[in-house]
Amino acid sequence: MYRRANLFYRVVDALFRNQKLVMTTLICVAIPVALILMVRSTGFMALGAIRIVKENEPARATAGGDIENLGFKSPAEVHTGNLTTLLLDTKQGGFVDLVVQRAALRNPLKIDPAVSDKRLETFLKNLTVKKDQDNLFSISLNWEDAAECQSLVKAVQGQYIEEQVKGKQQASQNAAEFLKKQSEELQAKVDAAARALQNFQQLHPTVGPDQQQQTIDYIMGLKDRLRRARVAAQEGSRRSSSLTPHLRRLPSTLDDEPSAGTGAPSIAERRLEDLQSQRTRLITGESAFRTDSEPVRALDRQIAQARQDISREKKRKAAGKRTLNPALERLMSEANDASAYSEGSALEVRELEKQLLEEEAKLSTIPAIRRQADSLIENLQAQQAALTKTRERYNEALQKANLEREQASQLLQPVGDVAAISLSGPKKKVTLGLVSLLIGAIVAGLMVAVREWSDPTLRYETDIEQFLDVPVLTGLTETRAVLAPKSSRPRTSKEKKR
Amino acid sequence: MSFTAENPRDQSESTAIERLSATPTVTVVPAEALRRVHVSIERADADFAQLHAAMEWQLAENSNAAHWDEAASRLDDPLMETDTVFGVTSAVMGEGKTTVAMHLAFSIARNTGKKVCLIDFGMGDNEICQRLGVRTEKGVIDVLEGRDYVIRTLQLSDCGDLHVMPAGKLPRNANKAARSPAVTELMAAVREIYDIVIVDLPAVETGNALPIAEHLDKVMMVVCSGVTPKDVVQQAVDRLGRRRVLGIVLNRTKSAMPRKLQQFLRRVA
Repeated sequence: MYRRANLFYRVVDALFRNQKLVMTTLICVAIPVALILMVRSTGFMALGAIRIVKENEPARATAGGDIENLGFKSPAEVHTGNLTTLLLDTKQGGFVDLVVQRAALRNPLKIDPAVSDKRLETFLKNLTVKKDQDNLFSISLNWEDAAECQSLVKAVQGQYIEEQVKGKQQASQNAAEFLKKQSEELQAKVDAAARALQNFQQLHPTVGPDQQQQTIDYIMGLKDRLRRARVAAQEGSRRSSSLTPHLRRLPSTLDDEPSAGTGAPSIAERRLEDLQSQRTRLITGESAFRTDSEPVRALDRQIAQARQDISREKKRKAAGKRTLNPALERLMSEANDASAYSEGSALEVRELEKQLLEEEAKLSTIPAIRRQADSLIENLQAQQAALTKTRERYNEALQKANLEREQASQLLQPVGDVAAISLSGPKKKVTLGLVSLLIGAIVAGLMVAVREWSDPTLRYETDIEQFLDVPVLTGLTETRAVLAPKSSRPRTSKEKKR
Repeated sequence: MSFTAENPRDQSESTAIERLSATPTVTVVPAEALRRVHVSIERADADFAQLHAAMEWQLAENSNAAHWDEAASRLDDPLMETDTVFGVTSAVMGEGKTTVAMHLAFSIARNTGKKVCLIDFGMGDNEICQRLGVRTEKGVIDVLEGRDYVIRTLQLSDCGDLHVMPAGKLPRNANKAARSPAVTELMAAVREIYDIVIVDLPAVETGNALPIAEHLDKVMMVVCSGVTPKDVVQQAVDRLGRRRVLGIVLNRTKSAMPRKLQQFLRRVA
C-alpha cells in the first residue's frame, strides 16, 4: 500500500490544502510590510567604509584560525565599538558636535542639552555602524537630503579617522614626555649623589681601598720606633749612672799630658772614635735610625764637641798652658751626653706614644668611613645606571612616537567615495516587494505549520499507525456518491411520511 | 431452517442462550428461536456491479483501483481462517461505513468466489437497499423486533455469490433491537450458510455497535480523513477492544494538489 505520509508530501499537501490561508496571509502580511518598508525607505542613504591597515595582525597570527572562539575581537569590531561609543558623546564640544561642525550643513543640527532637536535624534537613530569584514567597517545613514546625508557620513568618517590619529599620536607623545621627565629627575638625583660623594671625599681625602692596611703598617712602624726609643732611653740613663763613680775618682786638672811623647791617641781622640762608631751602629743595622732622628743628631753634636775638644787640646799643648783633666772632662761630657740622650729618647717615646694613639683612633674609624663611601658610590652608580636605562627608553619612545606618527595617519583609510543613493528607485521597490513577499511567505508557512500541528484529526495513514497503533487496511480517496438511479430506488421513510 | 451453534464465543455472550451441557464448547439455541428464525433467499436485480465499477473508476482517477481488493485480501488472509464474520463500523456517523461494507463485500465475492453475505445492521432506513435501488419491505430489523420469523436474503444478479440481508424498516427502539437475542440466532445461521459475512454496524457513538460486535469475529473501523478527531477514534477503538479491531480503513482522503503533482510526488516517494 502506498503511504503518502512522507514529509515533503505532507508539506506540499498542507500548503495546497491551506491555500486560502496562505493567500490571505500573503496579502495581509506582504502588502502592509511592503508599504511600511517603502515608507521607511524614502530619502537617501550614504555609505562610507573605513579600512583598517595592519592592526592586530600579529595577535591574529598568534591566535591561529579559530580566533573568534578565543574571545578575540577583530579590529573592525573594536573600531565599530569605539565609534558607537563616540556617537554617544552628544555634549557641546563632543564628537557629535565636531562631526556636525565638520559637516557644515546649511541647516546645522543643534547640539544643545537644553534644546531637543528632532533632526539630531533622527541622525543618531538612522546612523548605523557595522562591521563588514575583519579589517573593514562601514558607516551608513538614511537622511532626507542627499547632500546633507553625504556630508554627514563624510564628516563622521573623517572625524573618526582624525580622532584615532590624534589619539595614537597623543599616546606616543605622552609616553615620551613621561620618560623625559623621569630622566630629568634621575639626572638631578645623579648630580646630588655625585656632589655628596665629592664632599665626602673632600672630608676624607686619604680614604682609599688600601688605607686601612697602610695605617696598620704605619702603626707597626711606630710601635717599632717606640720600642727602640724606650731601649735608647734606658741605655742613656744606664750609661749616665755608670759614669757618675768615674767622675768622682778622676782629678780635675792635669800638669802633663800622660800620653805625651808616647804617640798614643789622646782621650779626646778616643772619645771621637767611640762616638763615630756609635753613630755608625745607630744608622746601620736592622732597626736603623734616620740621620735626622734625635739620637743621631745628639751623637752628631757630641762628635762636633769632641772635635772641638781635640782642636782646643792641640792649641793648649802648643801654648804649654796647664789644662783641666781631659779624662774628667770627657767623662763629664759623656755623662752629659748620656743624660741628654736619655732625655731625648724619653721625649721621642712620649711623642711616639701620642702618634700611636692618634693612629689607632684613626684606624678604628676607617671601616665606617669606608662603608659610607662605598654606599655613596653605589648610590651614584645605581642612579647613573637608572639614568642610562631611562635615557635609552626615552630614545626608544621618541623613535616609536615618530614611527607611530607616521603610521597613525595611514592606519585608517577611507574606502572609495561617499555618495548618497536614493532609497525609492524602481529597483529598490522591486527588492522591497520581493522581501515583503518573502516575509509574507514565511509568516504563511508558520501559520500553516501551526494549523497543521494543532490539527486534532487523523489525516494520513501514518497518523493512524503513530497515534492508535492499529494497522491500516486501506486508504480510499474521496469520490462522488455512487447510487442507483433515483427512479429505481425505493422511497425512504421520510419520503413516505411526506 | 434449524441449526446448532458450536462457536465457543457464543456461550458467554447471550443470556438468552441456555446451557444444556457442561461441555463449554457446546451451546444449544433455544427451541423457540429455532422455530422462529428462517432464512429465505430471493433473487433481486440490482446494478451493483455497475455501481462498483463506477466507484473503482473514480478511485482509479485519483490514485489506484486496487483498494477494495487490497482490503479484501486482508480479510481472506489464511491466518484468519476461523474468522468469518466481520463488522464495519466507525467512531461517529457519516464516515462511510455502509459504502465500505457494500464494496468490500462485492470485492470479496467477485475475487474469491466465496459465498458472501452483507447484513445491514446499521439501524438506519434500509440504507443498502436504498443505494442498490432494490425495493424490500421486510428485513433484519423485523426479525430482531419479533415482527417476522423469516429473514429475506437477496441474491444480487451479476455480483457473484453475494447475498444482501436488508434492514427493512427503521427500528422502533434501536437499542433494544441491537440487544435482541435474535442477533445470536442470526449470527449462528449466517455462519452456517456463508463463507464470509460482512456486517454493516451502527456507529460506536450510538452505543448499538458493541452488543452486535460481541457476536462478530473481527471489526474494521472506517475513519473519515481530516474529520474525525484522534481521541474520538481512540475511544472507539478502546471500547471495541483492540484485539477485536482488525484494522482501520481511512476514507475520503483528499488532496488539494494537482493530480500531476500528486503523481510526481508518488513517483518520487
